[in-house]
Amino acid sequence: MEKLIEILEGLNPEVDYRSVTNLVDGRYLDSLTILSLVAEIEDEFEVEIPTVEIIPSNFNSAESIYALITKLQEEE
Amino acid sequence: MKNVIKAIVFFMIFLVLLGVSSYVFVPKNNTTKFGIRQKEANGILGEENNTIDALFVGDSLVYTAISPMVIWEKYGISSYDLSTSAQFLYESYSFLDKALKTQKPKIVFLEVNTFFRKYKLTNVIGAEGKKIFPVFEYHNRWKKLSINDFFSNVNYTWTDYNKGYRFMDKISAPDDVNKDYMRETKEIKEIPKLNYRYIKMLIELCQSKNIEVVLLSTPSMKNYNYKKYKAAKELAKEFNLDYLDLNLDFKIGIDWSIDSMDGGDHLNWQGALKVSNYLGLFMKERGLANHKNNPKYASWNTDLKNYKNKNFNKK
Amino acid sequence: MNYLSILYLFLFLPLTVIIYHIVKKKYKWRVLLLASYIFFFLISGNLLIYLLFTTLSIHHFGMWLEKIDGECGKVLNETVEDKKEIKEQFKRKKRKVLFLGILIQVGILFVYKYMPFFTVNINSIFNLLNIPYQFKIIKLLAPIGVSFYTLEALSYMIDVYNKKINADDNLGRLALYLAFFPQIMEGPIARYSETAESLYEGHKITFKNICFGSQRILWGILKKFIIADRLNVVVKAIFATGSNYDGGLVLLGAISYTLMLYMEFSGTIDVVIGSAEIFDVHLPENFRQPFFAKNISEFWMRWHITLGAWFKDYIFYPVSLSKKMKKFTIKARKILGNYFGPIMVGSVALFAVWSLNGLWHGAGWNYIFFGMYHFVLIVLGSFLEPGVRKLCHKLHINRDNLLYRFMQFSKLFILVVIGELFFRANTLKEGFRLFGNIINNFTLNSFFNNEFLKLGLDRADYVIIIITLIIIFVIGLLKEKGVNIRESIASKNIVIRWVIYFSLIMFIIIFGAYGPGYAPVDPIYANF
Repeated sequence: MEKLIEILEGLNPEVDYRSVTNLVDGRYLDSLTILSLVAEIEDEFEVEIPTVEIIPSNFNSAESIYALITKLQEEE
Repeated sequence: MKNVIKAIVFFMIFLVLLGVSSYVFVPKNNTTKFGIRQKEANGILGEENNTIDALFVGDSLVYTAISPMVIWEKYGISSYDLSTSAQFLYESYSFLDKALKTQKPKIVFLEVNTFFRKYKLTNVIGAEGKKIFPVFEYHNRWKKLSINDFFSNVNYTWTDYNKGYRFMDKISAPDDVNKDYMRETKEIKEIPKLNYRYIKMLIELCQSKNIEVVLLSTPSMKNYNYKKYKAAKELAKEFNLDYLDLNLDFKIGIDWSIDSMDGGDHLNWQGALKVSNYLGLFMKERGLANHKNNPKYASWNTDLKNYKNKNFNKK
Repeated sequence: MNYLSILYLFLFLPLTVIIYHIVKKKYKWRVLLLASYIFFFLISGNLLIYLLFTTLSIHHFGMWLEKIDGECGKVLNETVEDKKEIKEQFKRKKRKVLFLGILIQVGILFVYKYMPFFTVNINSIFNLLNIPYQFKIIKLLAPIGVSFYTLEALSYMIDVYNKKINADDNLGRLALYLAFFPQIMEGPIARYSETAESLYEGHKITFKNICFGSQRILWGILKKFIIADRLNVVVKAIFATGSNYDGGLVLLGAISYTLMLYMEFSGTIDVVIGSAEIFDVHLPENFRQPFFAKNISEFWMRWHITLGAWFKDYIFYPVSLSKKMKKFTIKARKILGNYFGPIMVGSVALFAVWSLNGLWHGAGWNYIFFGMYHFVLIVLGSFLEPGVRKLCHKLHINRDNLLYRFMQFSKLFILVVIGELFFRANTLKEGFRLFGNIINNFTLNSFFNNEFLKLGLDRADYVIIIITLIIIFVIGLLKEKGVNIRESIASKNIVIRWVIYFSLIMFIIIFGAYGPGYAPVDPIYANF
């Protein structure tokens, strides 16, 4: 989780990722930022995020992103 | 149930609002200043009650071809052009209906070119809506609304010295002679059902008031052909009416090289002179009275002076 | 018949509502489907056959894709080894099927919308190369809404492919999803998962739905009748081919067009969403106060939302997250760093998105230019963002203060207006001519010597436009602040509510730009 927050803060430091739950809907993460995010996550956590999973509900909070990562890791 | 009542009350209030706003927005007089549309045709609303003996109903082929003042000068017969550009039959009907509320003409001429102009039921509904609630027609008057609009009643005072006629002095001959103009064919122009209904209504409206109806085709190379002629002939037969066709049946000596203002579409004043003289004579033979020396018609002689001065001495 | 015609609002819609209300629950969806096909037929006649074909086609492909999945599962159950290999095999098969399904839909769209454009351009290339052959230019009358329902059809097939949704074996439900009459002409482009179920269920019509739906419709009528139809007079004059106005007037025309487009499109969408609301069907929103956006990129997330979302989900991510692109991303990140690397990659995807977005609006170089214009602006914005952020930080500029926001708005507005100028221009060349006029021949003289009043609108017209825009702005501001205006009106007592409704209705009747002197805008998006 800490690693993830670090990545997120590297992308946009102006957000408190522990509390915000509308990262996509509130437009803190636009589509280009999500690309960076996906690339970094795949690098860092050694998972592959399929396009189908790129939906707002998976990316609206740090927590849900982390849940997605865990899910993908388990599937591996 | 509560909701049904609510809906009904809502609708009633809406109607009241439409009524009130219509009262405000309807032009209070028949002049441009008061915002009236089609003021030439609406000029009849300012005429003295029961003074007009003949009406010409139709589209632009009426107001360019028939000059009531020419007829007045020669025969002393009072007539009026109840015409608007590209008139639809349902408009013809409402103009005539409105005019017959204050006038008792002996003859109503229906120019038959309008008989073929198509329209849809939705147009009629729209027009009826505007008649009931003039706010839909005149809402744009909000720009010029005055305090009087809220409190005074409608009072039409303006009269047109041209009596609905529009003076045109341009001369434009047709480029080449239209060979198909009134050339005999077997075909017949179809009259749409909805049009037929309105023609019938127009005729019945007149007959219920003992007014003679005469069908009329003024000369127009562009608008008339044998197919329309035949259709009008049949209608005349069906309703037992006279049909004056000035394109084929009655040659009144139209010279297309000098009598048209726009290449055979509409007549100019010289063409109108010929048509008006012909119609004047026709009405005289039908026994329409000469009011020339009737003091009640003094204003018509003033109008004639205006007609001559303002139309012919423009330049 | 369009959505803002008397025929639709006072006959077609109420009649459908009444019949829908009367029939039993299980027949309700049939009423909607029948009404939708009648609506389609009234506008496009026999071209209805294309809609039917698309419906049958995606139904078939959906089932096909699902069958392959079923087979795959069966085979997997029977074998122990090589599971990955088998999965891959079936995946390849599925991909081929999907590709075929997409090809058919895109093929129809291509023939109807792009054939003339491409033949004309190929012919001119032939001319250039002195090849003495010219293709015949075939122009076909496109079925209404083909651009909209094709995107819906594609999203359905792709979603089935991705197992986001199950293939629908109920042809009626699928048909209704594609054909629902309020949406068919101008969108919003909905996903199967968003509307299909609620359309099919046959919800009851309640008094509240009728009230809320009518409100929304009324609001749309206001936007269209008061502003869009009025501004059309100016727009027509300025954009007429061969017109020659000074830069100030051309700018007025471009601003007028931008506002008109917004009011016409969002107003129509209000009528559309309101109509659906009466049937208790909630369509996705297509606009969210676009002019409150901070930059062009955000603007496009607030304007024609469903189109942007479609491109994002079905073009942008699939392209940028494809295997090859991911490798490229990793390389780019090593060279350009964590921020700029992915942007490089994203730009490639964005290029695809905006080329297609431009083309989707129509086959013409001005539309392609319109797409490229936005592509450049958005990529540029992303590249500059870290710099701007640092700069603001150093200069202690609060990016939320009013002045900064106003500057942001002005920049955005100017950029959007320029984009729409090219969008509206009859040809790309014409667009550059008009734009050149704004730059080279700019003067405000026409506003001082009242030349601008000769375009067909008088002072009173402009006043009413400005007043209405202020009303719409205030409502927008409240929405941005999170106020639910409709709920708060609904909670007021009946006198206040009715005063509001009647004011709105009378406002439209009196100040609407209808009758002689005005020319109503034809539905703009219905042609796309």
